[in-house]
Amino acid sequence: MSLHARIRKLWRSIAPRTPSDVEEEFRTTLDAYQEDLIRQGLSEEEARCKARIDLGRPAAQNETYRDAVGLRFFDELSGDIRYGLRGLLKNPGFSAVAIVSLALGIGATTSMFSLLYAVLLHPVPYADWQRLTYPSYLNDDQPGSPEWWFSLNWPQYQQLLEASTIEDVVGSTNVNSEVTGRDLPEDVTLTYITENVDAFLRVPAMLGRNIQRSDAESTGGQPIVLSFDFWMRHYNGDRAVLNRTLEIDHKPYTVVGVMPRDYAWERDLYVPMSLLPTRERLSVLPVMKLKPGVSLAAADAEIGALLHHFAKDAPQQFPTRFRMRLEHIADRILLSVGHTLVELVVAVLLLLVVGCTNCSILLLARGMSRQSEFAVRSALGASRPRIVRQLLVESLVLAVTGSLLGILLAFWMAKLIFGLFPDVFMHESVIRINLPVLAFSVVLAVISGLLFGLLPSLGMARPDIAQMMQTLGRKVAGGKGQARSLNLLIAAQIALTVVLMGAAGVAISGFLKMTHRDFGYDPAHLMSVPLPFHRHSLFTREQRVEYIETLRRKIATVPGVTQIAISADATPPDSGESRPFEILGAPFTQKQFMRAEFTDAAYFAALRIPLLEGRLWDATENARGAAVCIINQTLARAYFPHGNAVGSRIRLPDLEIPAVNPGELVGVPDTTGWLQVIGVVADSLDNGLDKPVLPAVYVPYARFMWEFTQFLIRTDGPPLAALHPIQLAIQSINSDQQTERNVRDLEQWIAQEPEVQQQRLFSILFGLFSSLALALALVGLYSVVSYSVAQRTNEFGIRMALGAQRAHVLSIVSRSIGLTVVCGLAAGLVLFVALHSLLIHIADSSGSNPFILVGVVALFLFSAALACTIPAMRATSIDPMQAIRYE
Amino acid sequence: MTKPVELPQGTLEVLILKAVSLGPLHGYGILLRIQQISGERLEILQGSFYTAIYRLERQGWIRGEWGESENNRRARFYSLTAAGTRQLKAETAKWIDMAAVVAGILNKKADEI
Repeated sequence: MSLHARIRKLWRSIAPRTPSDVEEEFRTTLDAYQEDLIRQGLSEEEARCKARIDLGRPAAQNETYRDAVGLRFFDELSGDIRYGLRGLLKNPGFSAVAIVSLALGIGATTSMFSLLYAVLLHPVPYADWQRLTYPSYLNDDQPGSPEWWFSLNWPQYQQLLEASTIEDVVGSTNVNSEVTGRDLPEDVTLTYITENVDAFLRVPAMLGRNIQRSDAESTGGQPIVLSFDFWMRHYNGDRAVLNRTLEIDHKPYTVVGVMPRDYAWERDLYVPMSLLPTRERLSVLPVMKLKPGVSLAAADAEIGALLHHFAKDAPQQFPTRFRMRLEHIADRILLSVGHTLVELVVAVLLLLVVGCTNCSILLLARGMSRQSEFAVRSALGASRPRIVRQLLVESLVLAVTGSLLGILLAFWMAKLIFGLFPDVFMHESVIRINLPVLAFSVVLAVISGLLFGLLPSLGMARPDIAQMMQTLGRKVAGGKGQARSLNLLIAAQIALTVVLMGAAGVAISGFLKMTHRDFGYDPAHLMSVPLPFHRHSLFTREQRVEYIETLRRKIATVPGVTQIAISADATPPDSGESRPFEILGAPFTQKQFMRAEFTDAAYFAALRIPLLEGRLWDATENARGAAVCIINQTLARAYFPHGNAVGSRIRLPDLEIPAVNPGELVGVPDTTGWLQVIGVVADSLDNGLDKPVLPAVYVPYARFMWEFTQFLIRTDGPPLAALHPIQLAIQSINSDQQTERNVRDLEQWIAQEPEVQQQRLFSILFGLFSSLALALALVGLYSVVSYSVAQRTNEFGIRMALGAQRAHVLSIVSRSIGLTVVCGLAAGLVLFVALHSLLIHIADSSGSNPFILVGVVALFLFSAALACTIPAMRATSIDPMQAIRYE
Repeated sequence: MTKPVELPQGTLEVLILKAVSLGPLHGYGILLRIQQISGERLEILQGSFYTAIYRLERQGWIRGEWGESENNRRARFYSLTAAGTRQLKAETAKWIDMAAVVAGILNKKADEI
C-alpha cells in the first residue's frame, strides 16, 4: 500500500463522518420505515409525520452524531471562538488597543529577555566557558588598582600545563604585523596561538577549520585562520577564500579557515604557535580551563604558588607583591552590563504589567456594558462556567493574537538594539530569539490571558437577572464592585507608569550629565593617528625623536592641518597610565597614584588645555628628555594646597627600562630621577566620562619611549577627511610606515565610549518603555472616561435639559476620574522615591534630581487631563434631546 | 401478543452488536432484526437508536460501509469488527452471569435461605 493510501485510511478511521453522509444514511432509514408504515395502511402524509416523530428530523441528525462521538465540546468551543472573534471585529478600536497593549508588553519583555539570555546566560560560544579563566592577579604594589593579567615565557607556560587544578591552557602571543604584497601596507594583529585551541574552545569554523594540533608537526605550508572581521574587511566576505595565499610581513601563508562572527578570541589572524621560534615565545598569554569541580580559590592557591616560584627566578616579570585572583571570562560582562540589563528587564516587566492592566481595564469596561447580554444568556439557561468560558476564550484570543504580534516585535526590537549599540555588549554575544525565549513569551501570553480574562469574568458571570431584565434596554451604570476594581486597576496602571517615567527621567538626566560635563579639552576637529614603530628599527631614543619630528614637519605641510601634537597614549577621555609617584620632601606612600602622560608641549594648545601657572617646556628640553614636568590642577590642589607646586619635585619610581626586550623601550638613562614641576595646567578628563579627574603629570615624550607613538592632529574641516593626504605624507618619508587601523575622531570617540553608549541605550530604552507605558495608561484612561460618559449620556441629557451648564457637566465627569488619577499618581511617586533610594543605596549611583519628579508629574497631569477632557467634551456637546433618547 | 419490555440503560448497544453479528445490516435492518428476535416485544424507535450506532462505530466495534439494499437502494451496512466480536462475547457473558445471579436471588424462597 502506498504511503498516501495509508494516510488516507488512517485519516478515515479517525476523522468524523461528514454531515451529508450522516444525513443520507438517516434518510434511507426514514424512507424504509415510512414505506413500512404505508404498507401497514397509513396514508402517505400520516406515515411521513409518524416516521419523523419516532426517529427525528434528518437536519438535526448531524448534531446527534457529533454529540454521540464526543465532539460537542469542540463545537461549543469553536462557537465561543467565532462569537468572540465576531465581537472583537465589531469593535475594531477596542480590539486593536487591547492587542497592541499586549503586543508591546510581550514584545518588549521578550526582546529584553533575549538580550539578557544572550549576555548573561550564554555570553560566549566556547565549550565549558564556565571553567575558562583569564590569567589575572592583584598587584599589591598598587593597591586598589584593577586586576592585572600576566603572561609567561615558554618554559613557564609548559610548567603551568602540569598544574593539577588545570585541564588545559591556551597560550597566545600577539605581534603587530602588516599585510604586505599590496599597494598599501595594512596593519594587523597576528596571533600565534597554541595548537590545542580547536580542542580547547570547540567552536566550529565558519569556513574550513581552526588551528589544530596537527599544525604543530606539519612542515609543508604555513596555515593561517581569519577572524570574521578580517575576512569581511579584507576579502569582502568572499566564500572562496580557502587555500588562497595571504602575505604577512613578506611571508606567505595559506588560508585554511574563517571563524564565525561570535568567535572573537583575538582580533585579526591566527597562526600556529609552532611558527614562532621558541626563543621568541617570551610573552604568552595563558587562558586556563580549570578541571571540573575545581574552585577559583583552589586554582588561585596552586597557580599563585607556581607564579611566586617563577617570580623568584625572573623578578622583573612580576610585581614585588601580588596575589592570584583568577577571573571567569564571563565575569566582566556580568559586571559591565548585567546590572543595566536587569534594571531594563524590570522596566519591561512593569511595561508588561501595564499592558495587561490596560487589557483588563478595557475588558472590564466592555464587560460592564455587556451585562444585559449576559443576563439574557443566563436567563436562557447558560451556566456560570459557560459564561466564564466565553469570556476566557475571548481574552485568550486577544492574548494569542497579541503575543504573536509581540514575538514579531521582539525579533525586530532585539535586532535593533544590538545593531544600534554593538559596543555595549561583548563581541562574542550574538542575540537570537531562541527556544527558551519563545517558550517564555508563550507562557507569558497564556498567563496574562488568564490573568486579565479571569478578573473581569468572575465579577460578571453572576448577573442579577431580575434587575437586569427590569432595566433592559436602558444603559445602566456598572455595579459598585466592578467600578471599584476598574478604578483600582487604573490607579495601579498610573502608579506603575509614573515609576517608569521617573526611572526614565533619572536615566536621561544621567546621560545628559555625562555628555554635557566639562571635558577640559576640545574634541572637535581633532583626531588621533597612532603609528607603530617597526621591530628592530629605530633602536635609540635620538633616532626615534628625530623620526617623529621629521614626520611632524611633513604632516604640517598637509593642507587643512592646523595643529599637531604628540603623545604616547595621552588621549582623553581615558588617558595616560596609572603609576605611583613621590613628592620630594613628602613621605612616600604606596597608595599615591596618578596618570603619567608623555606628550610634547604642543599637546596643551592642540587640545585647548589652558596653562594656569608656570611655563611649558621648549623643543630642546623635549629633545633631550629634560627632567621637567607639568601637573594638572587636581594634583596641584591635592598635594600643594599652598600654591607652591611650581618648583617642587616629583618622581615616578617605577618608570624603568626593563631588562627583557630592551629594544621595546628606550629612554634617558635616569628615567626614575626627580622631575622639576615647571607648570600647572587645567584639568581634562583622564579617567573616563563618568568618573572624576585623577591627578596627572605630563612629561616630555622623549624621556621615555615605547615602540609606538601617536599624533593628535587638529584640522579645520572634518578630521578623518584629511587622513588620506596625511597617510600619503607619512609614506613619502617611509614607505613601510603604516598607520594603525584605529584612527579616531575624538568627538566620535566620546560617542562610542562604552559607558556613553550604555547610558545612551539605557536612557533611550527607558524613555521608549516609559512613553509606551504612558501611551497605554492614557488609552486606558481615555477608554474608561468614554465608557463612563456613554453610560451616563441619558443623565447628562436630563441635567442639561434642566439647565445645567456645560462646564458643570464637565466638572462632574472630571471629578469622578480625578480622584483615581491623583491617588494613582501619589502611589506611583511614593513607590518611585522608595525604589530610587533603594537603587542609590545598592548601585551607588548619583543622587536624585527633584526636577525630574516635577517634570514627570507635570507631563503626566497634562496628558491625563487631555485624555479625560476629549471624551468629556464630546459628552457635553451632545444635543440634550438626543441624549435623553440615547440608548 | 405479549407485553412490550422497557430496555435497561446500556443494553441497546449489546443488542445491536448481537444483531450485526449475524450478518451485515443497515440501520433499519438492525432495528427490524432486534424486534424480530425479541418477538416484537421491544419498542426501540427512539432517537437513542442512532446515537448508539454512532457510538459503537466510533469505538471501532462495528464498521459501516455503503452498499446496495435489497430493494436496490444505497444504504449503509454495518458489520462486526474483531474488537466488536470480543466485546460482544464479554458483554454476553457479563449479562448472562448477572441475570443468573439476580434471578437466583429473586427465586429464592424463605425456607431455602
